[in-house]
Amino acid sequence: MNPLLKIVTSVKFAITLIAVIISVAIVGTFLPSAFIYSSPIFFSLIGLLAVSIISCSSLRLVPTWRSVMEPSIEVSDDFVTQLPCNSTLKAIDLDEVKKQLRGYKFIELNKVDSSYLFAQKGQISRFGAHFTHIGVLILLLGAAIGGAYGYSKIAVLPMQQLVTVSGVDIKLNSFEVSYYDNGVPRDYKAHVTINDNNVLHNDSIAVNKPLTYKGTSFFLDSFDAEGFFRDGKPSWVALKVRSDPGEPIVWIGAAATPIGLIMSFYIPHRRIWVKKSGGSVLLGGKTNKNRLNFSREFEQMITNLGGTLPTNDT
Amino acid sequence: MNLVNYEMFGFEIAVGAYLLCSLLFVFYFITKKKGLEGMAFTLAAFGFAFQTYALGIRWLYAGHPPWINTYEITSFFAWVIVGAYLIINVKFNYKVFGLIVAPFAFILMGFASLQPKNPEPLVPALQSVWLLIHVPIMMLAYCGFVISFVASILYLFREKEIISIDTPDSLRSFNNKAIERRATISDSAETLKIFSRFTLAQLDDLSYKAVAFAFPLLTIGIITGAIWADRAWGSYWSWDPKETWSLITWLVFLIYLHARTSDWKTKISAYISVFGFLSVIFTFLGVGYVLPFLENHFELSTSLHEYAGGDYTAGTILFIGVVSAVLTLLILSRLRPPGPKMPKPIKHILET
Repeated sequence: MNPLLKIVTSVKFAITLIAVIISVAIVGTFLPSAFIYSSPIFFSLIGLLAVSIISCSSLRLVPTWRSVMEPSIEVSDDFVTQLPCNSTLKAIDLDEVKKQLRGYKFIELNKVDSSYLFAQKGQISRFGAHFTHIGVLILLLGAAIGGAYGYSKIAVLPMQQLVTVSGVDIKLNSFEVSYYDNGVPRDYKAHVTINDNNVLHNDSIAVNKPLTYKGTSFFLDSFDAEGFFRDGKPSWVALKVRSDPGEPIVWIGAAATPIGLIMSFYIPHRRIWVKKSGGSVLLGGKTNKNRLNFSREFEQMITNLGGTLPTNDT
Repeated sequence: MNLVNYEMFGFEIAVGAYLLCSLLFVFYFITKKKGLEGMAFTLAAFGFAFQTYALGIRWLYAGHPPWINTYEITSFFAWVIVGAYLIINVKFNYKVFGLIVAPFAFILMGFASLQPKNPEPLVPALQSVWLLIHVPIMMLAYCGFVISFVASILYLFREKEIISIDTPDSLRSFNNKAIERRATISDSAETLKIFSRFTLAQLDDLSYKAVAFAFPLLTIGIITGAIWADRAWGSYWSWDPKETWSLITWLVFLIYLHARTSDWKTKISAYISVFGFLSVIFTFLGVGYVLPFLENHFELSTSLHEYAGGDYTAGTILFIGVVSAVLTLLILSRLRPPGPKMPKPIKHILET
């Protein structure tokens, strides 16, 4: 492989890159403004990370697919006896073994002098990392689209005046503040009317309840506190107006990321090979996580099938 | 019926219990007297029960979940850590972890007790269902990282102790008791004898499992925080220091997870876990107190996350204290235990 490609697809390169991003991010939190996060350097680092993710994942996706979808069924005796959990039993029916393995998917192979049974479950966990990687890429794509095509601005609405904001005709009708008993503000609410081709929509905007109209969102930003406290009549309310076409994509990517993590970390991929030849049955298995539980279940299966517990000294 | 009194009662019993528990673990560390460990553990559970009661009462009369102001969130963090400590002891014996967990919990509680306790009604931005989702998930993730930290720091101590290992045939199975038996300890490593039960493989495995548990939760925590920010402030990500530092923590543990797939795994995993924990501390304490403290003295960015209020100076001192303790432990763990000069290990116990 091209040496440069080898470096870019290596885990160590990814780790180093992430470490650099961490360092830049840390510096940014001690600076008075967040400019570092929109700087060309930061964008390049993120871009490089995306390249790393894409190349690493593409490289490893096919082997993972093959390993899961096309497992070796016809295996040697040595293969089975060298698995972390293994045992040898007197001739038993492979159907008996299948009964012990609830929830597993089976592949059987019968040859002239030997029969093979392969059982696995949780194979989806092997794709967790790829799923997460794709999720992160989608998220970055959504963020990029939002950065390029989205906008956020402040619009001041004078009381009782029709204003056009981002193509939307909106009028501020009233503004109210509710309080707790001790005088701390409980809620802020602006009542507005949107005029869309002479169809009027009345709505309100509160702090955790923004108004979204045809792709544009309106949030409470500030209000004429001076006027409000003087005579209860604020003369203006400022709204934050936002449109972000990339946002739905960000949420899709954001949802996919932890799903992939759950696949990877919370679902063990367990595989069991059984080979029946001559007068004996060899059984062996492995798992990619939660080894202790798997060991115990394997030993339980062996006991149920009439065997003695293996010493497991390999 | 003054519920505040009931809460204070439960809170103070918990503080006392965590303090006694810490002292007992220190005695146990020095004297190795059997029985102290069990007593200390019982005290931790006892304190936890009373603090649970206090938190319940608090929720009742404050009208909001007990994780808003500084007093609430720091004592809640202590509760979550003790809870995590109790949970990992359900199946296996990790009681000895209390030597680090209990003092940490006590210090957090002590700090909390110095803060103003009057519950404030929720400001509009906090009146959201996300308050019940985002905060607990984050705290749950944090407690996983605390466990990982304790396991990692013990790993680093233990790594220096193990002086001879017979050539292992196969290290694929960490259930391999035969290999564990072959590891011996220098007689002179007396001070750390109470940790001698733990093999490197075990500590490494616990550390990894704790991160594997916590990392998806941290991810979901960050995402739910972004959703909430989007609803309340109109922006799902604004590089606010709290947001940025939670992302930094996420990235550090991202390195941890990736390092484990490479041959850097054994060399750096434990260190990364410790740095990840430092990042958690900064995210939790640094952003809320150190940054505003520095902001008051220099011109630095401030966070939208300043609901907690509280004494920035005290918080900064607490932060410096915790970080110093962590760094001290880290440095101590790398010093050679006293005793005869150790031969180089034939093969690192975890290398496969």
